[in-house]
Amino acid sequence: MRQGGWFQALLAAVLVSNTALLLVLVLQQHNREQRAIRQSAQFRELAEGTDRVRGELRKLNRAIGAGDLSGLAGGDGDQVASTRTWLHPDLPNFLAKNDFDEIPPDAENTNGTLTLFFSRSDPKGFNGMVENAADLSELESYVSDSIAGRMSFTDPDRWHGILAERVEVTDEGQTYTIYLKRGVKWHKPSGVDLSDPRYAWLDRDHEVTAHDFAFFFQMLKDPQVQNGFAKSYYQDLESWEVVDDHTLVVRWSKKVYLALSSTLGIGPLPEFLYAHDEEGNRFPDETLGLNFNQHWYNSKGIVGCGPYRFASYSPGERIVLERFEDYHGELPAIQRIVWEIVGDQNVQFLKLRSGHHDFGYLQPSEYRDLVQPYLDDPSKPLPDDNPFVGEAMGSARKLTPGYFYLGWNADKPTFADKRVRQAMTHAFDRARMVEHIFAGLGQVTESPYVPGSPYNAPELEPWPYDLDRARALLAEAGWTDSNGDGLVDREGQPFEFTLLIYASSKEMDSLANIFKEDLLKVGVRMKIDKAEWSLMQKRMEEREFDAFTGGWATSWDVDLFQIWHSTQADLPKGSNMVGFRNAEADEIIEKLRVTFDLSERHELARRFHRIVHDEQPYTFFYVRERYYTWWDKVRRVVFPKTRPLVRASSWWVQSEV
Amino acid sequence: MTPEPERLSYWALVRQQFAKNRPAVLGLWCGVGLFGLAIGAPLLALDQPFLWSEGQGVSSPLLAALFNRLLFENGVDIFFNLLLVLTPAYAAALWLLRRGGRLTLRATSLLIGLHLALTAAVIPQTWFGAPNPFHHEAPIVDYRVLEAQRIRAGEPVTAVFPPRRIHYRETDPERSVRPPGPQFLLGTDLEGRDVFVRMLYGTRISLTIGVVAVAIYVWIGIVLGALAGYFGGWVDVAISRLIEVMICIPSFFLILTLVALVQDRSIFHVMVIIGVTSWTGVARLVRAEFLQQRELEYALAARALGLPRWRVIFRHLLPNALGPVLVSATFGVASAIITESSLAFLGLGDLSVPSWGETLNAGRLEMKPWLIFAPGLAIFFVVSVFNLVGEGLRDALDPQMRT
Repeated sequence: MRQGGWFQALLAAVLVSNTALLLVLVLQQHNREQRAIRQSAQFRELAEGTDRVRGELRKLNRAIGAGDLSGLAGGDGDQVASTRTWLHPDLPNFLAKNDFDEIPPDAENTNGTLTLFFSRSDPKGFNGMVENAADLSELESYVSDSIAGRMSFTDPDRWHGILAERVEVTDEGQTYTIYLKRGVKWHKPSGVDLSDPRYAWLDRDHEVTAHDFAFFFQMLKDPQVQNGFAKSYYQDLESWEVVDDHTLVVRWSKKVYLALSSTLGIGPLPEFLYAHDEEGNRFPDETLGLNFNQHWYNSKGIVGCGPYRFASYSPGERIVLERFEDYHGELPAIQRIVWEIVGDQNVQFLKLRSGHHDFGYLQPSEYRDLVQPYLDDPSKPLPDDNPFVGEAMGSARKLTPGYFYLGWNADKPTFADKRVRQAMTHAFDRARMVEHIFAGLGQVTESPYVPGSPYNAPELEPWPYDLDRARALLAEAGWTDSNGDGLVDREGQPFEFTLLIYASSKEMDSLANIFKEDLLKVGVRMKIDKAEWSLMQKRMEEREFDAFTGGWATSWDVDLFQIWHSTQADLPKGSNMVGFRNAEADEIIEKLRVTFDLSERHELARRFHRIVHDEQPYTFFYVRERYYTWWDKVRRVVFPKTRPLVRASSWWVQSEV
Repeated sequence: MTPEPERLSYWALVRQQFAKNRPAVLGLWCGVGLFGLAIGAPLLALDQPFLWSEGQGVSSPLLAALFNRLLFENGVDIFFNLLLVLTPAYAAALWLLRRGGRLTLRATSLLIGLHLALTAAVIPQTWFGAPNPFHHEAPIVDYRVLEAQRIRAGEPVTAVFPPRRIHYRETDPERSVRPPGPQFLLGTDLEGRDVFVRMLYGTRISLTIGVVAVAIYVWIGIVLGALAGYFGGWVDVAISRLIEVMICIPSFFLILTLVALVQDRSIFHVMVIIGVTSWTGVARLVRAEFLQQRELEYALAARALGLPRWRVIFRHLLPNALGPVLVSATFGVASAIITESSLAFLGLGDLSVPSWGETLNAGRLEMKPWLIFAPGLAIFFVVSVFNLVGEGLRDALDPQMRT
C-alpha cells in the first residue's frame, strides 16, 4: 500500500505541474493573439489606405482620358489617329465607344477574391479551337480578348473595340480592315515551371500582333484541325492579309450577315506557343494541324491576352484566374477568380450556403424549398438558417439564352409525318412541368429564338397540352387502335419508340417519366434510354435514335443554318440531327444569311417560325431561368444581355472584415 | 412422444437447431411476410377495382389488369401477379403432395420450376417470331374517373377498390414533392408518384433482385467449385486462377462497368450482372468442401460402385457441401439488394421499375426526408432480415454450436 501512496503522490505532482504548464501556455497564447489582432487591425488600415490610393489613381486614370489608355475610344479618337495612317481615312471608325462601364467605376476594393462554381467535371482540354464546351468559352471570356466586343449591357448590336482601335468596313460588309492596338502582351504560360531551363524559351514577353490572327485563321481553315463546329461559320471566309504587324484585312467571298460578328468576335491564337513543341522547336508545316489538335499545352491551360491570366489548374478541384497586371485595357476590380469544379449538386449547394462560394445559382428544388415560400407569402417569418431569403444575399432571375427541346427523328417512318410530331407536342405537358418540376424557373417556348424577341411571330402560341387533340392527330395520320390492345397501330405495327435522354439531371428523368405516362394514355409506348454524354453523342451522330432530349444555346445573331438547313442533315456530325428538310425553310435560312435590314430579317425569321411551328421538327420545351444569388460582399452584380451571363469582371468584392 | 435426438436426420437437426434461435425465426417470419407483401401488393394499391358493377353484371377489372402489359410492363410484376392469382392452386398442390405432414423439398422445387416456366411463357412479346398468346395488352380504363362520372350522372354503380386507389407509375406534375399526409402516406416524389405505393411494389424488385442474382451466382459457384475441388490437378489450377483474377477486380467497379456497357438495360440485366460477378466466394467455399469430402469413405464407395462422375459430384458430394453455401447465399441476398440499390442510387438502374434505390436517389437530390427515410429504412429492414436468417442458419449448421 505504501507503494500505492507514492504512486498517487507522483500522479498528483504531474497533474499539478501539467496544470501550471497549461496555464502558462494559455497566457502566452492569449498574448500572442492580442498582438496578432492588433497587427491585423493595422494591416487592414494599411490595406484600406492602399485601396483608397488605388481607387483615386483609377479615377485619375479615367479622368486623364478614357479612350487613350484603354483604347475604348474610336468614334471620337482623333488624337489616336494622328499616330497611325489609315487605309480608308475617309471612312468612319466602325467601332464606337462603349457606353457602359464594364469595369466598376466606384470599386472600393481592388484586391478581392471571388470564388464560384465552374463545372461538374474537368474540361476535356483548354484549347478553345478544338473543344466546343460552354464552360470553356465562359473561361475564355476572361482570359482571351477579341478584336471587338458587343455592347452587351446596353445595345448588343453595336460594337466597341477591345484589341482593335479602329475597324473599317468596306465592300458592303465583305472587307474588314482592322487596326490592332500596339503593346498588347500575351500572358506567360502557366502550368509549366518557367524557371526550368527546358521551358526557358517560354519565359519572355510576346506582343500580340496581326500574325497571331493569321495563325488563328490558318488553324481554323486547316483541314487537319478538328473543329467542324467552328468551320461552319467561316465557310464564306475568303482571305486574310497581314498588312503590317498591327494591321489586318479580312475578306469574305459573300455578303453574309454573320461575317461581322464572325470577324470582330475572333481572338488571336498565340503562335509562339501553339506552333512549337514542348522543347520550343517549331512543328513542320505539313503536320502543324495534327500537332495542334494534340498540342502538349492543350491540357495545361490557356494563354490569352485578356484581363485575367490563367494562373493554375488543379484537376477535379479548381481553376484560378489572376488579374493580368500588364493588361492593355482598364484593370478589373477583382484580383482573383477561383472557379471550383464540384462533382456533386448537393456539395455545390452547401458551398454556396456556407459562403465558400461567393456567387452561384439554385437548382429548381432548392429554389422551391428555400425561396419560393417566402416570395409567395411575404409575411412568413424568415428562418435563421436560410441565407437565401433576407438581407445577406442578393439575387436575380435571368433567362439563359438557349432552349431545351425534344427532337424527333424525321428520317424514321414513325416521325416522318408532321401530324405525329404535333401529336407528340400536344401530349407533352410543358406548362405544368415547368411550373412544378422546374419550380417555375423557366418559360415554355415555341421557337428557336429568345422569348419576347422580335424574331418571334407574335400570333403563335405554344400548342396546348391536349390529349384528345393528340389522339385525333394520330388517328388522322393513320394511327388507331385497330386490335384493341390499348396501343395505336398502323399496318400492324404498334406505335413504340425510345426517347434518348442524357443522364444529367433528376428533372430530365422526371419529365421523361411523366411524358411516358401521358403518351400511354394516347396509346403510344415510349421507352426511356438514359445514356452517357459520349454514347449519346455517338448515337446522334450516327442518327441511331427515335427521339432525344437536347438543348441549344442561342447567340445574339439569329443564324438558322447550322441547325435547320437541309444540307446539315446529311453532313457527318451535322447539327440538323432530326433530319429537318424543308425547301421553303432552306430558302429563308439562306436569305436570312445575306439580309442586313433588321425589319426584313424579323419578317424572314417569323416566316421560318411559322414553318417550324407547323412542322414541329422539335417539340420546343422551355427556356431555362436561373436563380442567381450571391453573398452581399459581391457588389455591383450586373448581367449582360448576351452570353455568358456571368461576367465577374464587371463586379467588385468587398474586402473581408 | 419426442423423437430421440440420434434418430434425427441432418436437416431435421438443423431445423431444430434453427428453431431455438429466436431472432432468426423472427427474421424468417418477417421474410415470409415480405414475400406476402410483394405478392399481395396489387390487393393493397392499384387504380383498378376488385369488383365493378353498373346495372347488371359484375366484372373484376383488377384481375384482368394484373396481366395487362401496359399497366405492368416489367417481368417482375408479372411473376408476382401470376403468383398472386395462382397462390390458392399452389397451396392446394402442396397440401396434396405433402408427405408425413411435411412439405417435401421435391414438391416445392417442382412448383417453383412450374411457376418460373409459366412466367417465362407469359412475359415475352413473341415466341420465336410468333405473337405470344399469353401476352396481354388492353386499353387502360380509369375506373376512378368512370365511377365519379356515373355517380354524377346518378347511375347505379358499385366499385370495390383496393385501399389505395393508385398505381405506382401514376404521375402528376401538380402534386410534385408533397410531404406525407392522409392522401399520400409517405408523400410523393418529383413526378408526383405515391412513394408508399412505390415502396410496396419496390419490395418485389428488391426480393427478386436478391433471389435471382444469388441463384445465378450460387449455380455458377457450385459448378465451378465442385469441378475444381473434385478433379483437382490442372482443372483446379485453372479455376482457382480464374477466381483469383476475378477477385482482383473490385466487384462494384466491375458491375458499374458492365452496367454502363449494356444499352437499354432492364432490371434483369442488373440481376444477371450482379450474378455473374459475385460467384467467386461460393466457388471457393464449395471447392474447399469438396477437397475435404472427396477423400471420405462414402465418396470412395460411390466411386468404387462405378457411378458416373456427375452423379458422384452432384448427388453424393454436393448435398454434404451445401451447408456453407446456404449461409453465404442468405447473406448474398442482402448484399445483392444493396448493390441494386446502389446502382439505382447512382442513376444506373432501370427507370421503369419502382426501385428503392431510385427513390433514395431522388431524395438525395431533392433533400426531402420522406424520400430518404422511407427507402432507406426499407432497405435496412430487408437486409437485416436476411442477415438474421443467415446468422441463424450459420449457427444451426455449425456442429460446435449445437446445444
